[in-house]
Amino acid sequence: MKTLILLSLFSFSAFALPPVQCESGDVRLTISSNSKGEITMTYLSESVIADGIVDTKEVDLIAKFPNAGEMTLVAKIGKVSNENYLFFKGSRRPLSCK
Amino acid sequence: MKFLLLTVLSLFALNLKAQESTDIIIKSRFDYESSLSFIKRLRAFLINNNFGDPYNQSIRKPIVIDLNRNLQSLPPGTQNWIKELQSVLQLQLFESSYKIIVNDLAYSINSWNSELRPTVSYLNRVEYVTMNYVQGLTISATSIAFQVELKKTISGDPVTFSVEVLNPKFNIRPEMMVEMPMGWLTSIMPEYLLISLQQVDLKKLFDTIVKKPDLIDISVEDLKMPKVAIKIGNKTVSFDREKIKNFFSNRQHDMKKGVIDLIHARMGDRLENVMNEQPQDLIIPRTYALESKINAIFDIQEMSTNNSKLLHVDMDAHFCSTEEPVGTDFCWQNKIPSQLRRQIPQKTLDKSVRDLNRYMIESDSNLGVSVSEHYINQLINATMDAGLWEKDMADKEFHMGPERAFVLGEEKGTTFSLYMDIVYKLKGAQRLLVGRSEIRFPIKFGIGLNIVDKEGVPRLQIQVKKILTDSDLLIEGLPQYGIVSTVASIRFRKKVIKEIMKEINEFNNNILIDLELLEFKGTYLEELEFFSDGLGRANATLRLGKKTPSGKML
Repeated sequence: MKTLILLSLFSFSAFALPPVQCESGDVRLTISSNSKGEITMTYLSESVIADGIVDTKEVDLIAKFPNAGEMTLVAKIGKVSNENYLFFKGSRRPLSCK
Repeated sequence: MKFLLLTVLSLFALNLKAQESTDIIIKSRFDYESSLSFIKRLRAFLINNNFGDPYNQSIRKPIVIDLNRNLQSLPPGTQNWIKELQSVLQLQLFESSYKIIVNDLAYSINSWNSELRPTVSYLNRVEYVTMNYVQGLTISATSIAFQVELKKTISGDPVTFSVEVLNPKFNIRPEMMVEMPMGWLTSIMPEYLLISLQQVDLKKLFDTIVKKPDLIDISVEDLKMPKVAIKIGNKTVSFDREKIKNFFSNRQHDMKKGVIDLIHARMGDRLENVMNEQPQDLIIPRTYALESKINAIFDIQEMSTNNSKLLHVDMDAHFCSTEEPVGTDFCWQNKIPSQLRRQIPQKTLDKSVRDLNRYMIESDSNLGVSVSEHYINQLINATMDAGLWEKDMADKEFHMGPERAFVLGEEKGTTFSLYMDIVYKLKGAQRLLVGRSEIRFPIKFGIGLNIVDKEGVPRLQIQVKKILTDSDLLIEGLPQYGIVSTVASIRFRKKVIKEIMKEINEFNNNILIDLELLEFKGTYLEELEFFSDGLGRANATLRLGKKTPSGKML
């Protein structure tokens, strides 16, 4: 019982979240996290490990794709806001994530 | 069960433990355009610290190539040249072994561009690759000896002789672009920082140049030949020195191709790392003292790189009294104290770091510096202890109250909030009218925090940019920071406030701290404009290869 409680507490922060889909014009991104806390971002057919945070409320990430280059993105999930953006290929674009 | 709960609570409490924010964070992010500037400075630093020049290295151990063994693996043209050489040396007459010995094979890169990429990091060890794109390179040796060993002689002892090409240089023309990766690592040890050159990969370079021998020019200083005559039975064989000399001078193109082919074939995969598992190390202190009007100490704490290849360095920093030399203990136990004005939660620090990461990518910056407001407050205390504020204050009958002065990075922007605890001395009629000899109140300025270049010398300047003091602040004080105002209870309050405001307004544009940072000269920290991230940190970024405000090219 004790072990179970302890394990539950330790693994509390390590649940994998369902994938987050983000869109900015023709750019579509899939963001997923695993139980190790690794965040994977997929654009076209490239997947990389991203840095930052993703949870049920927000994404705040940077990623470097070997072919597509660097991206930064910030968004409140499920909300339309002027503060949501994707920075890609030298410019900021509006972004929505769900 | 009680024990279990206590254990769990303690574990959670560990995460929630109040921590001072990291004093200084340095970040770097290099691309192809910006790496060269950094690598050139790193190269100068390494040379100045007796590390040697990674772009100008020689292999001490001679490279011995046994021609008997390697002949078949060479291209047909090179095989023919070697057979002709054997003929000129009349080697077919003897049972002999013949070798080429390359002494002090060296490379010297004349023109190159480079990209520095962190690759992986773990436990304070970060590995990097410098991908060098070389245009213009010289491969040289002190000598290339064509050595012959005759096994069966009259005496029975082997006779060894060699024809030596002295100081050959293979100049590879700049039209040929060759890649030359180098592998590095930095590691933070308990007492020092280790910089290590782990790998110099010449394989790609040789793979490229063997295919384009026409783009290699060879020059030779001299040819050294022994006067050898060998007796076999009744026959004496003398070497025709003139013929050998002509062979080497007329067949230089074949010789350069032959030597490059031979090194390529003989060294094979060993060219992937000519360091031969003997890394070249440089040990430098991880703690550094900057001694001037104040004594500042910097200590590298952690280094890491993330998946997006941003290098992150955490530094602890503090100040020591100027009354005694810093010494070797860096006053760890006797730092100039400074009160922690705000607890910045770990979550806020994480957000600040994420903001800086994003900003560096979006502004295409290569270097980022992030300083905690607590560190700025330590700096303010140290400069006050050193008497650097006295002039400004004394001019205005302003004296520092017990809370002295402190900075908060409350809002995003180019200015920071500077609060000062002021004790205002009243004199003469003013004193009689007000009924007090002194009054106490806080004042607030919006200050700029910059490192500027003044006549070639970097200077840290804190300058008043905005007067943010109003009558409410003077009356109410800042009890949350221990500054209790006595203005509310004085006679002729309005008149006194007007007088104080007049004096405060005179601070506008004043430079409160102007500190020479001579030791920052030649670093990238010569000119920096800090901005407040609104999360308790002062950040500055810069792009290498751009001109600074004073016109310097970074």
